[in-house]
Amino acid sequence: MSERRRTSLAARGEPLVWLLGAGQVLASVMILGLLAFILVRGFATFWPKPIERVELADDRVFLGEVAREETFRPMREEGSAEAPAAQHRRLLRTGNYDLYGDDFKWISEGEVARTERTADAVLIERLEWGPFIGFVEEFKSGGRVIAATREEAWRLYEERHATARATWKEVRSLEKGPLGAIFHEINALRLELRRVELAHGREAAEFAAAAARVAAEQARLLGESLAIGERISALKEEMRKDALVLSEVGGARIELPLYAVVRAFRPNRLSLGGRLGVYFARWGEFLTDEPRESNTEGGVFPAIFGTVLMTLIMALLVTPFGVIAALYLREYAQQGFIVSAVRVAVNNLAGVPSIVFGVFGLGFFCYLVGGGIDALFYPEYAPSPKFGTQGLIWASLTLALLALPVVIVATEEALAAVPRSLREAAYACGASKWQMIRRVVLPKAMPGIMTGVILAMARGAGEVAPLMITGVVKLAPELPVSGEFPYVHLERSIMHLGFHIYDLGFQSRNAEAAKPMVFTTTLLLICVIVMMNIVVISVRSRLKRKLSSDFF
Amino acid sequence: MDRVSGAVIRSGGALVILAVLGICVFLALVVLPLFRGAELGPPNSFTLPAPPAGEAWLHAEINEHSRLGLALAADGVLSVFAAADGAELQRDDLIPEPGLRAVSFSQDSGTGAVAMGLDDGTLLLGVLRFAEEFFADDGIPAEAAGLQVGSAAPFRGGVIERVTPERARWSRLQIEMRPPVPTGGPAPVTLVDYRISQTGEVLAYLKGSLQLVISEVITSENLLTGEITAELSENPVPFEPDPRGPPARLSIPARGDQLLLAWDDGTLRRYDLRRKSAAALVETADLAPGATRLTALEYLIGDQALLVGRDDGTVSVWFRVENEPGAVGAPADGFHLVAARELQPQSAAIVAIAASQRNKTIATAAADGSVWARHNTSARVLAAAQTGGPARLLQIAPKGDGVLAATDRGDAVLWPLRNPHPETTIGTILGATWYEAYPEPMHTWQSSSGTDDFEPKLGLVPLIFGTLKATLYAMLFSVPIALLAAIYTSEFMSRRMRAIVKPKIEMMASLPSVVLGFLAALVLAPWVENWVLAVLTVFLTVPLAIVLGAYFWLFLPTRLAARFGGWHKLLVIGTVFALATWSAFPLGGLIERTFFAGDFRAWLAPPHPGSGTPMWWMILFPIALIAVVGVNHFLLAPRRSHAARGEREAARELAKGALFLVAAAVLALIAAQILTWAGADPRDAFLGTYVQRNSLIVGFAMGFAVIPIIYTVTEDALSSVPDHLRGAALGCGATPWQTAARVVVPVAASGIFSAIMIGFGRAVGETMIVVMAAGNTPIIDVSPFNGLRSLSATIAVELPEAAVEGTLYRMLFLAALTLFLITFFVNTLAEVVRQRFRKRAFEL
Repeated sequence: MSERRRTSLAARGEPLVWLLGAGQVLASVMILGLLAFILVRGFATFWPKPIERVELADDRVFLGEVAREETFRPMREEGSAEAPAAQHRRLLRTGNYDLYGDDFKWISEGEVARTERTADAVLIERLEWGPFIGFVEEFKSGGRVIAATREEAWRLYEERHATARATWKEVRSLEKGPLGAIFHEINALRLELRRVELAHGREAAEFAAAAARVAAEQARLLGESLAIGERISALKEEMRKDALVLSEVGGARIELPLYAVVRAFRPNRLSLGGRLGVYFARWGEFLTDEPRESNTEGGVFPAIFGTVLMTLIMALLVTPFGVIAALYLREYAQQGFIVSAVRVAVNNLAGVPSIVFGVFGLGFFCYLVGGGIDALFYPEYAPSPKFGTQGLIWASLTLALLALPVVIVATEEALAAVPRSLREAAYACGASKWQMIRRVVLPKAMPGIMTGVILAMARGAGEVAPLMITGVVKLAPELPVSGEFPYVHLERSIMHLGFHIYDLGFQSRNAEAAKPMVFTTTLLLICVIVMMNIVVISVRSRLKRKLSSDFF
Repeated sequence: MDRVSGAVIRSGGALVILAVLGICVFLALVVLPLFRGAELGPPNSFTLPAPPAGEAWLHAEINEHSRLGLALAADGVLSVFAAADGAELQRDDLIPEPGLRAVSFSQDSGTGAVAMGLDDGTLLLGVLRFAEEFFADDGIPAEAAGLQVGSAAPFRGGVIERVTPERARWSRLQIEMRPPVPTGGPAPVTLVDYRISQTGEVLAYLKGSLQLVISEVITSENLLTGEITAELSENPVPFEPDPRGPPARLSIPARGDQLLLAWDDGTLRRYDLRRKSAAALVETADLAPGATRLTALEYLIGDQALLVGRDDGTVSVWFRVENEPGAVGAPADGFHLVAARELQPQSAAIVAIAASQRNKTIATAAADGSVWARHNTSARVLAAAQTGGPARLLQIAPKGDGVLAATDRGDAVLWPLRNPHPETTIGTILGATWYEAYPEPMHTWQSSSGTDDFEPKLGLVPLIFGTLKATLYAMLFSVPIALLAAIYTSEFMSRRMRAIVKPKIEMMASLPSVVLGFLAALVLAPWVENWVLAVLTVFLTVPLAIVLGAYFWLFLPTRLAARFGGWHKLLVIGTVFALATWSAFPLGGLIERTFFAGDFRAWLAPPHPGSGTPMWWMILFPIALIAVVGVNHFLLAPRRSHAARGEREAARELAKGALFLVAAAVLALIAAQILTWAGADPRDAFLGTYVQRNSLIVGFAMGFAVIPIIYTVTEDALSSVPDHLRGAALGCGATPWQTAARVVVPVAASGIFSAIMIGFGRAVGETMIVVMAAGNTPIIDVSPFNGLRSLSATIAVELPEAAVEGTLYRMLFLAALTLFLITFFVNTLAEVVRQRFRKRAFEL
């Protein structure tokens, strides 16, 4: 003990060790804090909040849910010497964009005269205009009021809402399904005719034959579409019958057709079970439905689908090429200066910014390769491009290129980790080089290769910059997989979770209204990526164990 | 099988690697055309229709498809001809009264507005405009039925061209002349300029040599007959005749806000016309210095820049710039003319200048018959050609795809002009360029705007600066944290702790940058804006509190300190950290009230309340502290190693620390005060107004992306330092700190360097964080409270909108290539250093 004491305290460097520790703490807090923040905000978004009725000192009344509260410091007014003190304020989500022209209202604590929770207050998520917050006054059917009290109207709403929604969904599926298919077919016929025209000219006999056939087909399809159209208008007639009469807190009334109500509930009356029901229903809609209201409401299913599909295609593209390149570098190429230079170059490509790959993808894949494909195989589409513009396949290819170094490096490491003894044993048994690689090296290296591929997928799923150049759009009208031939449409633009976040936060009409959606989308994206990373980590640890135990 | 698979793998592998390396080549191939000049195609020579006896053509032009042309003579004869061979298609007379001639003439190439001052004192105004009509399928007239696609034939006074098998286009001239309007008196109008813009028509003329008039043209329609009559609302401009005689040229911009009168010796008078009733002479300039004479004067598209041609072959560009505040004797309208640029001279007097209606391309013709196509912004000569004589009639085709030059004798030449990227040279991309109406040459990036006459400003320097600025702030924040954390993990943590902590931080690397950008911009930026000073105070309180905490830790008996070395110590550090952060808020508020006029953001804003001393102090204090500690360490007490006595030693260390702090604070205060007395204010020097999305935010958000990379690579480098070195150091009696600082870190230095380089590479190319959190302002400004715009963000924002193969498209490819080269270079450096380090560590 006395020995220890004799060391100079300065030599222990305690202050500097503490600084090192502080760096460690900060780095850990940054990551954990960020994840916690996203988890809390993401999971809290869909929880139904109570609706408050706020009376201000100047007699104005607002009804809404408290979105958040904060302490802020107002900018100093011109000419005043004293800086204003920090104030507390809350952001009330008043909804009713169609009536107020705004979704939110900041209320400073000083202005408030009275706050109460009105039991009858209703929050209605609508197909258009964002949420409505107010009261259900009457229920109309066929233009006639059939329930005139709030209670009665609410009871009728609960009774009939499901049916109205079912009718609306049927209309939508008819419009998207059979009707959409018919229009696709008509368009395909038009293109077919154009193709014949380009091949043979307008005067040719082939053209006349094709024109006659196409005209007949089109007439038949139009007939079919008319029949479906009639069915749709009948359904629409029926679904427009029932309507709610709503009043906002100031007394103004509006009428809302029942089918346009996505979900309605009275937050201040909800039991815990009711709250949970709303919460999970909202998650369900978020995960499986299509976006509404320029992406600020509804679901993100197309974005999830796009992200997953693009990442999978990327993995399919990158794996063979990456493995072949690594096999070449490690097993076939003459080791020497050139190969190690190439290895350095490939390594460095992993550090080239993703946006550069995006630029390359746009110039090379979209315009050069895609344009070439259009000119060769799809001249009938001109002047609008089919492959010669941004699309799923080009985004996947760009990502694949971006991820190639990751896969090459991981595969090379895995190949290098296969013990020499195994190879020699295989050769000794009379295996050729390919047999040795195919039967001994590759199976042994498989977990390492898989790690590389999943790592690449995780990186690809989180990339946005190169995608917004090469194929991801704000709102894709159709999924890249559909019932029409050839079922997977590689040339279509897709939606993507990462781009969705950017678009919602920075391009939407009302960034504040979009914020909750951004948090949930972020949560979803992080979950996908963290899951992939966990898979990688577990695969890696299993691989390590296996390699250390399997030694000859 | 073996041979086949071998061949497949060999060729496939080589192909993949070639493809990967081909990225660079492809980018370069797209960029290259930027630096190629324009090409004049094979000339098409023809003869204009013969002018009337005794006359010469005043003006000649061709239409936008270079199919149809017109020529106009002073006696009012207008000839429409086919631009392919000069064959006359139609001849008209614009002057209704026989025997009258035009004394003065003006033509506005953008709108086709024509004015002729006749010798009876009237003005003939109108528009000569090329129009076109399309015929499709069955409507194609018989004249065009037999035409091949791309060929043309005369048709009803114009030309018909088969554009596609299904369509034909008929080009013709639309003549819309008004009846002559009187100008008050029989004296002829000797100079006239007539312009039409979206806001109205403006007209200026000189009558005789006495009266200078500007007027607006008021048209009225007779409701019964439908006849349109024009009237002039005349506003005389005070004009003092000049002893040299009448001026030779008169010009007004389409905006009608000023009027230029020029004499042949180069004297220019500029009148301010912003108030039509109170027009006044504001400036006189000499466009042709010395004995040279002014031979051509033309507005560039946009009517901002003036092109001046002289008899010695020189061409210069002039425009108005704002007066400097307080300039003595400056023109009263707040602007003055400057000669911004001298273009390369031609070998003989300039006889004509033509400006393109598409961009800032110009053509100049000299008396020796040479015709040059040039560009204003880049000042380069794009192409040169030769005609038989001085081409007084000169035009750049309306689409900018041809140059028409004709001599007095009617010998015309039409060159097709391929001119895709005239505005880019190494000079305009990397050098300061003097853009129209800018007070001085500047580095500017502004790639597009709503108007056609916009001058694209494609300087990459602000973007490169923004990239480096974002990287610098990111590195300032993340390098210390990552290195500190890595050294702690590797040298002061047990294996078990390391296995838990390291993957957590590595996980940070997989956070998508779009998430970081979104949080930084929408959550962090508004919050920091409220608490700027508290955030700045954190940078002082946290290190101080940590060091202070360490001194108190020294009071702990060694036995206890050793027992609580692991998680507990980290927890204590964390608590101190949290306390220090929390205390920064009240403290920051106090500092703000006391030293920064109560509101830091207002303190930064222009009237600059309060003094700059406190800010100087905040900047100088850390420097002073480092200086004091350094002086103590190296000069006063070098390698002190006498025996210590527990608590007393700790107390002495603490007292010494406190002394250092006070000394540093006093030193910094003195230095700050001296700086203030010397008149230096940080707000003038480098701090601008506070912007919500600023470099500080970007630096912090990018920290999330960069820290894990630097951390991982550094930690790997430190752990690969062989353990026997540590053992040897500890065995010699070194403390863990001494071992880490004097043995492990120096050995791993090259590995750490390569870690920083790799982090740098990542920060340079980071896109989404910068797009979202940096405010996207392409300015050159070092202030941490101001925004920036990086190469990558510009690509991401502008490339989706850029026209394929246009100049902007290629410029963005150049930006990408720049990024590629920067990161490739930095990464290669890092890789080489790292390999050397590995070899060294292996040898040890």
